[in-house]
Amino acid sequence: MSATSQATARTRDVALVDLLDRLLSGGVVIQGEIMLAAADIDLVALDVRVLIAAVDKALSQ
Amino acid sequence: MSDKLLVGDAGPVAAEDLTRLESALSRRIAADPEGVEKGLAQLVLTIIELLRQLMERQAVHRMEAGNLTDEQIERLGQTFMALAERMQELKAAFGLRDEDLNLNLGPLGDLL
Amino acid sequence: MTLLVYAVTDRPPLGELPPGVEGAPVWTISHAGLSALVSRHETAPVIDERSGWAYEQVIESGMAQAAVLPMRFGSTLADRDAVVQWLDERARELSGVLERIRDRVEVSVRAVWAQGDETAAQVGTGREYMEARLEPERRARALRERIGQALDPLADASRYRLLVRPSAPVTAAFLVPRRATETFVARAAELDRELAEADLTCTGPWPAYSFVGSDNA
Repeated sequence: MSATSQATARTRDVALVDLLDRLLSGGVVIQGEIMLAAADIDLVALDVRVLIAAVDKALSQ
Repeated sequence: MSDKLLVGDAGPVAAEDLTRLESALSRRIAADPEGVEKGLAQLVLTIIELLRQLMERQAVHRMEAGNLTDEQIERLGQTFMALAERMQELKAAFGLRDEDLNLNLGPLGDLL
Repeated sequence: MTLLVYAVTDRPPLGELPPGVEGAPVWTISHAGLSALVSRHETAPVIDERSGWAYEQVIESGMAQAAVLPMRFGSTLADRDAVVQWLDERARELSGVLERIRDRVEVSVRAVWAQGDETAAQVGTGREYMEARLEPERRARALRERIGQALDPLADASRYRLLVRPSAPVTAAFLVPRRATETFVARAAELDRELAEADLTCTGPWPAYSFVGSDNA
C-alpha cells in the first residue's frame, strides 16, 4: 500500500471508529435495550453492562 | 465518508481502536466443544474482570476522598494486586488475551 | 419482516432518499407532526462498516433541511402500525428533543497521550498499587478541564468520558450550532497545538447522537 493510500485508509478508520461508537451507544432508543444482532457474547454483555452500571451508581450514592 | 476528520492525523491509535472493533463485531461462540468452552470462559472471565476493575475503582475513589485508613489502603492494595495476578493466571490457563476480555459493543463504549 | 427506523424528523425530506442498509429503499411514515425514516428487512440488520455508513447517509440526507433525531442502530418496529403507535406515544417528548438539537451538529474530540504509555511506577506495596491506579484518573481529569475550558464556551452542550481505555484519557462530544462549526474546529486545532502532552482527534459534523437518548440527555 502506498503512503498516501495508507493515510487515506487510516483517516477512514478514524471516522469509522467515531461513527460506530455513535451508532452503537448514541441515538434515540425505541424502548429499554436494543437487541443488536452482533456476537452472542456481546448480547449477553449488554445486559450485564446495564446491571453493573446500576450497581456502580448505587455504590457511589 | 473519510471527509469527517477535522483535526489531527490518523495515527496508530485508530488502528488499535479498529482492531478492537473488528473483534467485537465478528466474535462468535464457536460450534466445536473446545471453542464453546473457551467462549464461556471468555464470558465468565470478562465479567469477573469487569467486577474486579469496578471494585478497584470504587476503592481508589474512597482513598482519594480520604475515607480509608492507611491500613485499609495497604490491605486493599495488596488484595487487588493478588486478584490481578490471579486474573493473569486464569487468562493464561484459557489462552485468552486482554483483548478477548472486552466488554463493549464498540471501541469507545467500554464500561471500564 | 421488520422495519428498521433510522431517524425521526419534523419535516419529511424533500426529494429521493439514498438507499439504506443492505440497499433497501427508505421511505417515511408520518404521524403527529413527526416523520420516521424506515426501510424493510427480513431480520434486523447487523452493523458493520458498510451498513454503518449507509445508515449514516440516510440520516444526513434528512438533515439538509430539517432537525433530525438519529435512532440507535438496530432500532426496529414490526410494521407501519407499530411506527404510528410509537410516534403517537413519544410525539411530545421527541418534539422537545428536536428543538434542543435544531440547527446543531455534533463534533467528536478524542485525546490520547502524546508519548505512548509511560513506564509504570514501581509498585511494591499495597499503597503504591492504589496510588498507581489513581494517577491516570487525576491526569485525565486535568486534561478534561483544559479541553472544557477551551471548547465548552463554543458549544451548547458537551459530554465527557474519561479513561474509556488507559490510552484514551478523554473522549468528548460537543453539540455545536451549525454555523459555528468552523470556529469550533479552529479552536480545537489550536488547542491541539497548545497541548504538548496530548494529541487531539476531531471528527464531524455528525448528527446529534450523543445528545438525544434518555441516558444521553
